[in-house]
Amino acid sequence: MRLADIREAVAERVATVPGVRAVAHAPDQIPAGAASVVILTPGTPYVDYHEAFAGGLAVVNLTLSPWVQLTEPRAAMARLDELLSSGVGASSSLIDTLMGSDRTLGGVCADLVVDDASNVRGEQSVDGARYLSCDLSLRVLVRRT
Amino acid sequence: MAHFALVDVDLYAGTSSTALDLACFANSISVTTDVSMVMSTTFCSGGWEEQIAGLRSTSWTASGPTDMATATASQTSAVDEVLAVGLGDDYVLAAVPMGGTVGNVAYFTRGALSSRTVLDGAVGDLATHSVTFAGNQPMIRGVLDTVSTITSSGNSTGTLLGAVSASQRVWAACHFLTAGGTSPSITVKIQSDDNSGFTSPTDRITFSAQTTKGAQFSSATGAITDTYWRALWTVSGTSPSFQTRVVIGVQ
Repeated sequence: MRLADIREAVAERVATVPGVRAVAHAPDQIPAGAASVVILTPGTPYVDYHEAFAGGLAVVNLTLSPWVQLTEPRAAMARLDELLSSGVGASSSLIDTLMGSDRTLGGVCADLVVDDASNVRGEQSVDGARYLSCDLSLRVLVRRT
Repeated sequence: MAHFALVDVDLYAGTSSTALDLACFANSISVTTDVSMVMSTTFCSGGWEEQIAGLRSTSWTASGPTDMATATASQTSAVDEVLAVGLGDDYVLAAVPMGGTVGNVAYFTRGALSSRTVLDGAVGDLATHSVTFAGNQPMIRGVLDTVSTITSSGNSTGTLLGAVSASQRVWAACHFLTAGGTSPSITVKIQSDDNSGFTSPTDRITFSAQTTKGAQFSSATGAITDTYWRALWTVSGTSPSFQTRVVIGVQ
């Protein structure tokens, strides 16, 4: 189990959503000029190592935070809703992209589950740009050994 | 030795034609031995209840994440494939609490699959299962003698387990977690000797030839004065490969 591989694989999948840029770590600042950015950070706990004996299963918890540029409130909320919608097709939905296709991320993990979206809020990047953001809880099931 | 955490527990369960390393499909294990106490109080008991030991029993319960995968002969099996159809069947069982290192203490027995929760959990939860085996043989405290992917004839190093008294037996179980190759076959014997070099070994248990994944359980009566014990195997076929675990105990 290489945690970096898991984070990178999730980020790679997220980045397949049109118009979304994925960052597999907490960045110094939100990439300038990006309309929609999804930032991956470790959840709490980050790793539960002992879901089965003999390294049979571990759970890696990640928090995915979409940041949608807030130039006009209604458009920003609509964009966030588009990313968080489910059952509308993988082309525009972050949830369907993660949950609707190959949930092994090409064999990197055994399965993954997005549990919830919460904490919708306004954010401001260091360059002063305003964003609408929220947190997605993602559980990744993976063999420890 | 010191106290230890249950982390790398090895758990094996198999029938004559199936074999499973249950460890990766379990995060809880309970291996239990019981004896029913029978009341034997009389007017001569001095006002105190008296009890004597009656029938002994063993049970195993394991639970944890499940897996619906199906394996080939050369792959280790997943839990549902092995336990899905076995209700009431006898399984050879072994638990190695401190992990699969040769010489570690192993508890083993044979028991019937008496209860199974095939699937348990709510939406979004980890899919889990649980299984209970009711023992029909004694619970043996022995050692893990062999941990090997066997591709040719050979033997284990051997273990000092002690002599077998006239009221005891030597017990052994084999778990063949994979059976790769073309027409693979393995026959395991349990041998004893009076020295660690096994210069004059005697066959004590001969298991049936195994050509698929599977597990076998057997014993031999005492008295046996030899104190060293080992497994010896004869292998045939084209590119045979058996992931093998052997446990031996004197009790």
